[in-house]
Amino acid sequence: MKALAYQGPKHVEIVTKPDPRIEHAGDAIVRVTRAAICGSDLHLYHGLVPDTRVGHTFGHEVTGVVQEVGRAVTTLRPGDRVVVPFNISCGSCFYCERGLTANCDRTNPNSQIVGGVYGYSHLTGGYDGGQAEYLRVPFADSGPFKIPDDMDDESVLFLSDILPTGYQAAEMGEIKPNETVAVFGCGPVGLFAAKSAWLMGAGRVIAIDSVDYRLQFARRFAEVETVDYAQVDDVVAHLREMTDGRGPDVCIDAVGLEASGSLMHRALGVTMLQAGAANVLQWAIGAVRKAGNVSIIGVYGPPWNLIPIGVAMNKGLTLRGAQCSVRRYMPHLLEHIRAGRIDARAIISHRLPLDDAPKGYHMFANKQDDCIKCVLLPNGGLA
Amino acid sequence: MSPDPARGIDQDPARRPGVPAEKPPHSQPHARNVAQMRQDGRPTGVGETRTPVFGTAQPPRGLSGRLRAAAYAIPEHYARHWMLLILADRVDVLESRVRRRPGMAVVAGAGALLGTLALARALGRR
Repeated sequence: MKALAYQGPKHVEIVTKPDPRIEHAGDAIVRVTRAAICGSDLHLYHGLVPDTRVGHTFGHEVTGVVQEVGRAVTTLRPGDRVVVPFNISCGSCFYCERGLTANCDRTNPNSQIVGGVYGYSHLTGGYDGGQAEYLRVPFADSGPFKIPDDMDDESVLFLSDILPTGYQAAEMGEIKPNETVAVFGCGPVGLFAAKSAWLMGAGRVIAIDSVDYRLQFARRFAEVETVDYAQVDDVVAHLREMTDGRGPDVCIDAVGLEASGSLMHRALGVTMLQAGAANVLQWAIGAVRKAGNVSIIGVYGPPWNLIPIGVAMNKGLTLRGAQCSVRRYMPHLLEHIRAGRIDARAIISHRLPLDDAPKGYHMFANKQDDCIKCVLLPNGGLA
Repeated sequence: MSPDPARGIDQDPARRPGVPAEKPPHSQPHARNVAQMRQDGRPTGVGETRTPVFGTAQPPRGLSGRLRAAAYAIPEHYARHWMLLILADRVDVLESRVRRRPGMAVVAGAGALLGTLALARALGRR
């Protein structure tokens, strides 16, 4: 089959690999119909995630058609259309039983800190991902979600990651009625976090970024106020000024380790003195009101980052962060999509054949051509 | 104020699927412990709690593989675990380039050697 393969920082290629096969009684093989490029794939693409091996196939936002199932699989049949959560979860370990499928204890033998993830380095288990014609899906009874007949693949594609991730980001902010929520980052997760903040009753949502077309899109898509941090002297002071001097009630970091906006953090990140740039987290902790909530959904790598933990302690903040446990959000968010409350496919700016995936990575990474979200079509379809 | 007509529809925390984050223990429907079951029906090896299907899409090899083995021998709460993995990633990229273009590697190696010799000679003349 054709598949994307990592060759080194900023270098991916389309190669031919053996078709995946059923290796385990609980596996399914899925023919991929849509595979999105995620903002967190860019961390892999830039060589920032430890144990990203040459030849690895990325891709953890996938819809497809079940091609074959292992002998223990009872809930799926060949021909079923599915959307696959980015987490690989067994469904029956200590964490899965408590709904924390992102923390599954059985699917990642390489690390104690995170469960298995498709196409996200060997740090998350070493599973090839879905930016390929076919994908092997372990624990097929626990992860994939059948796509209802009245829904098309693209409408539900983002249930695989960025929509539940954005929703969980807002949820971790514990938003109360009429509170002010600041969302750092107008990428896809930030956009869905902003939409979700409205659903949870926020009174005001402010999105912060420095890329003009993304700020424009955020105003249109999520109906938020925006701040271009590059156009203000001090983004923390600016947010306080916008909120009667107190600061937002909730700050959401939807950027993570590749933040721009601080020379010091960039320099320390490049020299590996910290795992990427953590200035957005620093801004969030600085800007949020005392006793407020900071929700961390941006990805940070190990082993450490420079964040003002003393400020957080003295302000009495609640910091929450987690990889999204996608599966439990899928039915709820499907209903929001079906009811038209969230038009998830509206963020797709580019559809590309798999062969053009390297171009898609380059475009997304460099924020060219007003790129919001790239979707690959590994087996053809609407172009 | 948002013009969004759905504003506040999930205002009640009880409507939010992740509240509380940690639920009372409950198996997902249809989830069974299939971790020990191979497709061909053979039992998993004695003491082997995870079957070979878990991980390793790209098995470690070469010098980078040795570095990775060394890294995984160190617990992940030590920074050197991560530093070794990052070093292994860079070595892996170099190894892969050498494998793909051995001729280029010979030329680059010879160039580096000649450059080193020239530098040493220039320094020796000082």
